[in-house]
Amino acid sequence: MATIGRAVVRVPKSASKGEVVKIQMVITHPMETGLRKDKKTGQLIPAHYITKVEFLFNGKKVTTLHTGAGVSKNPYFAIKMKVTESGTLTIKYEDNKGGKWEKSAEINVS
Amino acid sequence: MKRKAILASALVAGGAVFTMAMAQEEQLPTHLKELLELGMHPGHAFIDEGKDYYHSIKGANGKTCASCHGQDGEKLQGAYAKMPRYYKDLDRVADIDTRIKGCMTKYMGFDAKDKKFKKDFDKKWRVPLATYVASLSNGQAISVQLDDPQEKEMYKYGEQLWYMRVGARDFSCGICHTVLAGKRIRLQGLPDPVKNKLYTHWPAYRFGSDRMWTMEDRVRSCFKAYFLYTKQWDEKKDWVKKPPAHSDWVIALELYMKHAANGATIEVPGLLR
Amino acid sequence: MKKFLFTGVILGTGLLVACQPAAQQAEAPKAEEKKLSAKEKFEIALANQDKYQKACSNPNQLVPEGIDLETFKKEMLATVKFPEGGVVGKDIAKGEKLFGDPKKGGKSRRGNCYACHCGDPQIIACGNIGPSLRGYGKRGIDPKDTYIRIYNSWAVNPCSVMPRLGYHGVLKPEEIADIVAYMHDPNSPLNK
Repeated sequence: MATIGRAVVRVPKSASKGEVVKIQMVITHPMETGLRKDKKTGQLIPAHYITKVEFLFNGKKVTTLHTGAGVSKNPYFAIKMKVTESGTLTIKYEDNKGGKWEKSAEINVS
Repeated sequence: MKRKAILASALVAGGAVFTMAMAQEEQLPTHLKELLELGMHPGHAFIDEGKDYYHSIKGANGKTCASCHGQDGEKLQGAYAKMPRYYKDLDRVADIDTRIKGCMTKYMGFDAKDKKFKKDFDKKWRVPLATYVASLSNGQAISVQLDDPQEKEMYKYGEQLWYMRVGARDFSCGICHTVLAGKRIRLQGLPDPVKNKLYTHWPAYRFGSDRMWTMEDRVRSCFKAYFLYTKQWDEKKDWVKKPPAHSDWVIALELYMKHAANGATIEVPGLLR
Repeated sequence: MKKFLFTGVILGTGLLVACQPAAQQAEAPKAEEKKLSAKEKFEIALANQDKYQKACSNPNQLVPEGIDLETFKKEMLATVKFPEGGVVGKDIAKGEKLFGDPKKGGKSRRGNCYACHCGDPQIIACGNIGPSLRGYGKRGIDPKDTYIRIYNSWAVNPCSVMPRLGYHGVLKPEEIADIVAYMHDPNSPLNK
């Protein structure tokens, strides 16, 4: 398993003004629901899942996803966004155990 | 008449390409097929991680991988397509895992016997780095050449190992992956990596166990199913589970399989069930 | 004074020399048994390949090379050991567990028959490598033949894909007899 909280973000290399672009990302995260039992010890595995994913473009909020324990392991997220200027897309995400991460990607608009 | 023959051969060739492309996807459940179509899966996170390590790991000499191989790994492009091959500086035939370890101990100043380095390399660095380096050869055709006598010898040994029936279950690689190819062991289909050139998607991400595997891991865990034993068969005492990492047995088999896959295009990271 | 030192040194070395072989002798057998490296272990395991396995290690895989088929079968048949209580055992429940525990979805660490054969219609996770064993008991096969096939399949079918479970000691003769009983029992799920 890769390190928890590592994400890959894929944005188009270039886009024309006013184009709707697709932004894809995968976050490596165990997404434990808290209902599963450890097979060896019989104890419940504590819940550990992503609660919030925030998409910011040039500091302006695009959208926020509130996620819960029902989302799969290593979740895949994709949004569609209209771009009018070049800038940095920042994605902030956090989990219920206090982990906070950030990942950014550049979009060039010509 | 001639036209017919050409048409027929074209059909056959087309069919072969089609089955080759399907071979990997055939066994995948639908949710994984969707991920493959989207073109993104957790395996890509390992490339990302590997790229970080490529710049961040510093040995005693103060060198990183990037200081020799270029900022974006320019000099490593296509290197994976020719591996495993003979390296003069290591004086052995090496696959990707062994080559990376050799680089680290020889040029970056890590001590091969240092316990911390061993642990870090095995548990943290090896797989992401291998995946990243392999991904630099994406889109290139595999071309393993057997120019060096050591390579030829290794290839011969690999072929011999492929057909060697040993252990408490009388298995060989060939039993499952040549003779029984296309059948199922329980519900798991058995592929033929030699005929169908299946080396292209390694290192691959395994969805079920949430792990990235290099071919070395794959070969070693295949050997686990051999039930090899040292004395008389007693599962608890004498079961030899795996050959040691970076050993000639593993590399010989890798060389045999990858040579068989010559000409196929590399697509890393692969996605498995 | 000097002399004393000198003798001391001689005594010391003498002691050392005297001690060394004893220490080695004490440690040697232990080292042989326990401290095999993974590489050595693997080497030994590969070298453990027997004559028959070697004959089957050709690219064809299913036809022995260098041994005549009839002698191969005869020599393999000679290795089969029969249990005291006859080839049909008494403990059918144990046979079922060894064959593949239905409570665990047909899994079994020892026999693991469902990996290659289908049988109990309730167990869907079965391989298609070997023939289906559904209705095996109704086919009029001699239990002794079944026993031989499980104990050493190469006695019937040289270089077969099926592991020689009894020959290698993965299953004991009594355990194979239990499996035979399970397969031939009219009440077992295989034959219903």
